[in-house]
Amino acid sequence: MAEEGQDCIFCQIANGQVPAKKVYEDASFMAVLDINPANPGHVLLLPKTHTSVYPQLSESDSSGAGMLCKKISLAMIQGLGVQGTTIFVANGGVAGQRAPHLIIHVIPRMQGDNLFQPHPVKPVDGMPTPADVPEGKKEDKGEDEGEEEKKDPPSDKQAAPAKEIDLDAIAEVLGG
Amino acid sequence: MADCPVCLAKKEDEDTLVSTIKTEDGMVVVPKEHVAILEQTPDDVVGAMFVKANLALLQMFETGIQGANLILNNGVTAGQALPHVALQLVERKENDGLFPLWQPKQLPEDAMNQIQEKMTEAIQNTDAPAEDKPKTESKPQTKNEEKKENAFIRRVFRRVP
Repeated sequence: MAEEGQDCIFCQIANGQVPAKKVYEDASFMAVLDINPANPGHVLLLPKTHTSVYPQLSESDSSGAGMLCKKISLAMIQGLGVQGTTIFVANGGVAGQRAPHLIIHVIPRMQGDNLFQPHPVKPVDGMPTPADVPEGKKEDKGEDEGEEEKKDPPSDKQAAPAKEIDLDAIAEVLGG
Repeated sequence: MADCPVCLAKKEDEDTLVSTIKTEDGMVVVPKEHVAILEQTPDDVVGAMFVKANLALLQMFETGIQGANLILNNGVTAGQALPHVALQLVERKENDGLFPLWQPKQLPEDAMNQIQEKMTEAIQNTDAPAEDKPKTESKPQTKNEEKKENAFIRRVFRRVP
């Protein structure tokens, strides 16, 4: 691995041989700020072991990467006050990969930043549509949402454990 | 959740923590238990999602695909279109025109340094609460909690057009 990654600039960044704006490091990963960010605060999560594409990552590192993405995402919401986050990995040149090293992008998102067109999920067996579900709280019912929201305060007065207050605060942020 | 399209959708594969749904251009990996956003998802479930994505991508590459993206849009502003956390695996082909890469921005050095400081601190601060959450979240829901969560999810998704 050391041989393989010897000329890889990202291996050198991940192992601290090339200076970078580090925001987190553990035994397996280095997280640095992208110097050419999609949005301010854009983080690159780099495995320390030379890895080209995500499927090459070990099972334990895959799990660790997921939990780290969650941690970084939460830090962006709480620390930078952003309204959402996107985790993005390109595997292969046709998918937009430009570096020879696996990069897991965690990108802070802002209203109207137009970084990505959302890619619709189209299940081969069909996705139940809002019409199929009893209560209208689907994403395409903005007006109903507004009405329902006005009814919220009474239910908010009911028991609110600490963890939910926390989640509510985050929901406020993510909801815009 | 009874009225979540992801919860209702036909699953291709189900483990103890995560399920997959086969899509026209790949698949989505979703938590088996309904959760709206990444911050609500227990660490072990997030870990399992990323392991599942790893194994599924390996299988996709073994069938000879040229490339694939892994995408998780978290929050309405990020383009999250479903009321359930979903990690998308999208097969890519030469010149398919999907996900054109973003225009990189340039920030002054002092702005970068400020962000570095804020992010380093914020990541450190996530440690304590993150440890406690999964235990409480894995408890069976009471009716009140479910009602509360519904209100919470409405707030998360109110801004979707």
